[in-house]
Amino acid sequence: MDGQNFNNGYEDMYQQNTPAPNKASGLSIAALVVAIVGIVLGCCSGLLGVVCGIVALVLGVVGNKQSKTGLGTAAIVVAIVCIVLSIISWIIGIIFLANADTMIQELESMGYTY
Amino acid sequence: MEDTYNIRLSRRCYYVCLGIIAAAIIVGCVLKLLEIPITKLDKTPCVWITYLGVYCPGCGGTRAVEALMQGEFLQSFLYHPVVLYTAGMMGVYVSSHTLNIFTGGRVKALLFHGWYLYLMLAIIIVQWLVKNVLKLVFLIELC
Repeated sequence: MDGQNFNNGYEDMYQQNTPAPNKASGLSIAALVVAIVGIVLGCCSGLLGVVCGIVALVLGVVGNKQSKTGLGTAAIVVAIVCIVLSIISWIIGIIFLANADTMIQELESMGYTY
Repeated sequence: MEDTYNIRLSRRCYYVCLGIIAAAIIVGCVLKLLEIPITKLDKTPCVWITYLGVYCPGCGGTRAVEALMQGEFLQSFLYHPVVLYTAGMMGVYVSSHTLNIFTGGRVKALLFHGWYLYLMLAIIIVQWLVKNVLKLVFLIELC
């Protein structure tokens, strides 16, 4: 009887913390949030975007292993897009640094003041 | 079983939202004390708009946050609608859970749904396309 009670209690606790099949896990939600943040920030700071993208990708893959859902898959797709956009921003940023003098003159002519 | 899991998941999301709001308030207070406008934090112009001539998905985000902090909701929406959406959604979500706790469950707390995030993603993509079409085709600059 005691064993039975223990098993029931354990199952209840397990069921409360484990996503049911096709139910979003906390990791998938976190992955999509981080990926969205990465997409928004990644264009301003390529490094931040790449970091967010990689974190979101890992969380999305682990979350999908726990429970395969649309949220997890969406997170993986958005994370990959985030990494690609961030790398593009990074490349543009490197070009910006290489031509910094010319760019500063161009920016000043566009009205930016520093 | 699924309901119990959803309720616990929604409550965990609520605690994360509380943490984000607390962090935002602390950052806001520090900026206010040091008298630093949020738009002055990063002086680097967006490389997308500077080099490629197109807006990036995050263009206008900082100005949207600043406009929202000054109570200019329409201006914030025009700069970047996802900021207003996130603030509104988070406000309603956190309020419902807080009331649920303080009223002993009489006020129903919002459950977490995936569409909250899908809608956020859709807003980012749509505003990005609309801003660039307006800029490149109709020569109208929203921000």
